[in-house]
Formats: sequence, structure tokens, C-alpha cells
Amino acid sequence: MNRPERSDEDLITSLAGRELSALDALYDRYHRVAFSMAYRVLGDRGTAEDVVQDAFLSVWRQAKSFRRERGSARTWLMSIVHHRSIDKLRSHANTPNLLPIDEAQDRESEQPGTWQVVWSRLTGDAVRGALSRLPTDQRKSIELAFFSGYTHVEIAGLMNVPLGTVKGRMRMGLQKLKALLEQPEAGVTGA
Amino acid sequence: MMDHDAIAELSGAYALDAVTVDEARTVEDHIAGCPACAAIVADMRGTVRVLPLSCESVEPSPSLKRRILDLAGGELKAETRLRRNAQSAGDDLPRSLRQEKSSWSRYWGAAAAALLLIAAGFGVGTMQARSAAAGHMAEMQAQAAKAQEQLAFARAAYAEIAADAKNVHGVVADVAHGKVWDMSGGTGSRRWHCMFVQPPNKKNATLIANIPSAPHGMKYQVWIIRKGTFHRAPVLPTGVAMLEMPMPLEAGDVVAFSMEPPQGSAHPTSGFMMKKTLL
Repeated sequence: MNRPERSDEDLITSLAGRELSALDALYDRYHRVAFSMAYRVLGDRGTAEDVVQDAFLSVWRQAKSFRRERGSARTWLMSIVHHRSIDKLRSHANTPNLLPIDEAQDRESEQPGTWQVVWSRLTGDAVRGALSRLPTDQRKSIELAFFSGYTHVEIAGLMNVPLGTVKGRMRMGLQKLKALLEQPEAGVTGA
Repeated sequence: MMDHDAIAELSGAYALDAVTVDEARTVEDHIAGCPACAAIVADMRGTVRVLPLSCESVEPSPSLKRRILDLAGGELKAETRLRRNAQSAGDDLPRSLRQEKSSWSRYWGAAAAALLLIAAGFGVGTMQARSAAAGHMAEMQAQAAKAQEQLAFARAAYAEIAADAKNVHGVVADVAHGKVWDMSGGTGSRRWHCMFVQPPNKKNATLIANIPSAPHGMKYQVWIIRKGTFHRAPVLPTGVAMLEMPMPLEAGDVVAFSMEPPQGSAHPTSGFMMKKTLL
């Protein structure tokens, strides 16, 4: 009989108890999505692997400080991967890192049960499909910020539009993305 | 002070971490007391969290898992060793010093025993023998005096080493038993090491750091930000440093480095070179 799969939060509790097997399991569960994002941001396999390694080791080292009421373990891990990737990208570009590199869970507070569930059922195809349906300027603004680490001011300069326009594109783009993903035909599996 | 509309307008950029430090602070201060705007921001952040899924799936090399598990396993062993050492440290001497002390004691004991034997012989021997014994005794006394001098030196050295060892053990115990936030980062020649430690039995936290030099004529200054209020901490010297922070640290505090004149500033005057929240 198969043992029921342990929840992410149980794995983090085991990590806090210094169980290496929990790190093994967490890696098996999230290494692909973590590496895919780091690779998308950095475009280099070696550097992306360094980032993923750092992120898993951070979770291993800081598991005791994890508070499940502040957000899911997956969000925490992916937040670390994202921030480290952007940090690396900026340091490779020889740009002083003046942006906050914040891995705090308290900025990640979630409404449990809503996006948690949606997140766990979404597929890559669904998210890619929804993103492709956004107006190009909104999608570009979001992608430049999230995957390339540009600030809204920098994006306004790159796209040669007023700052307010960029803020609006980001806000409306994210709202629309959410609406698209909530539609039944978005490809949310198991819903 | 931003109004609700301005916060809503900025919510997408904030959720994407594409705002300035000041704007982020403004949003955070506002949503701390505004549930409606907090809900908008939470919604935006929730949506941002799905973005990683849009990346084309790529597998890392198979060796990555082994590397991570080996590193974590190595840390686990080191932690166990550190804990054991910290527990046994106490006021005990390091083994090498214990051995050194006992060898000096043996030397001193042997010299004293030799003196007694010589003294006994001095009482019953002939004049010649007495004369030879006196010569031997003078030699032994000289050796004993030298031994005593060396012993005094060894004791002073031991006291100094023991004081150092106690300090080191204190730091080891703080790290082993306290709350530790490792904020190291950077790459290559810009790699910096920075660890905040909140010892369980001390009021204020300690910063242990080794950071690259700041640009000429400038220094890095540490700031602690708690609930939006900036607390000034010392300026970091170049190289390895251990500094007491002006207050205890706790999860949720934000620590930041800015670049300031050597004497430090009352308020940050540059952007933050590093800013992280203690988890």
C-alpha cells in the first residue's frame, strides 16, 4: 500500500527537525519548476543551478522560522528562487543592487484556500495560454518586471511611456490574468 | 501619504517587486491599516505567484540533487559537532592546554624531587662530594629557576589563551544556541559574509561580518527597520568584524546596509546595497 504523500508543510517541519529525507522529497517535488524559473530569468544552466542550490539550502537552514499561516512552503521556496535569480541577473549585469531582496514570508501572506488551490491545480500550459491572451503591452510589462527584474521606472524608459501607464499595465494585466485563469476553460486541472 | 486610489494603482508594480524602496514602504505602511487595500495587494501577489508556472519546463543536471543533499548533510554533521563542542566547552581547558599544563607540572615536580635528593646527599657526603653536590645543586637550582620562569610564562600564556578560548566558545555557543540569520550574498570579489546572531541570554544582537571595502572615503552602515522605523546601527569596518547591534533582533525586522561617510549618518543617505527581512 502506498504511503499518502506528505504535505509541503509537513516536509518543512521535518526539515526543521533536520531530516535530510525531507529535503530529498521537497527537491523531487519542486526542483523542475524552480530550475525552470531560474533558467528563464538567467538563461544559463550553471548559474540557474547555483540559484536553485542556494534556495533549497536556504529552506533547509531556515525551516525553523517557517510559519505556515504566512504562506505556503511552495510560495516561500519559489519566492527565494525568484529573488535570488533577479539578484544574480543584476549582479551579472554589473548593476548595483539597490532593490530590496526580500525573502520574507510576511510579504507573502496568502488567503488560504483560494489561490492555494488554484495554484496547485494550474498547469504550465494554462498559465502560458492566459499570458498569451493579455494585450502585448501588459504582458511585456509584467514579464520585464518579473523575469528581468526591471523596475516600473526602468520599464517606462524601455517602453518609452509615462510611468503611470506602466503601473496601469501591470495592475490591469495581473487582474486580467487572474480572471482568465479563473475561467473553467483556462486548463485548471481537476477543477 | 498615498490615498487608496494611488495604492491600488501601484498594487501591480508592488506585487511584481518593481517599485522603489520608498514606494514599497509607503504601500506596506498603508496596507497595515487598510484591509481593503491589503486585499487588493494580496490578490495581486497571488496572481504573481502563478507566473513561475509559465516557464517552459527544463530539467537541471542529475548531479544537482546530490550536491544539495551532500552540502546539507555536511552542515548537519558540522552542526552536531558544534553543539557537542559548545556543550563540553564550559570552563574546561582545551585538551592541548591540559596536556601542556600537566607536562609543566611534571617538569616542576621532577626538578623539586631532584633538589630534595641533592639536599639529602649534601648532608652525608664528603667535602669533595659536597662540593660536587653543591655544583650540581647550583646547576639544578638554575634549571629549577629557569623552569619556574618558563612555568610562569606558560601560565600567563595559558591565561591569555583561555580568555581567548572562552571568547571563542562564547561566540560558538551564541551561534549554536541563538537565533542566526545568515545574510551572506554577492559573487566573486563582491562576495560578502554577514550573519546576525541573537544570543539567547543577551539583550542585543551581534553582527559578524566580512564585507568588501566600500568605495574610497565611504563606509557601509547597518540599519534595523522595525515597523517602518529606522534604527541606526554602527558603521562596518573593512574586513572581519563583530559588532553589537543597538537592540535585540527578531523575525520580521528588516536589516539593511547603506553607504555613508566614515563617521556614519543619522539617517540613510543612499539607496540600500542590501535589504533583507529576518525570517
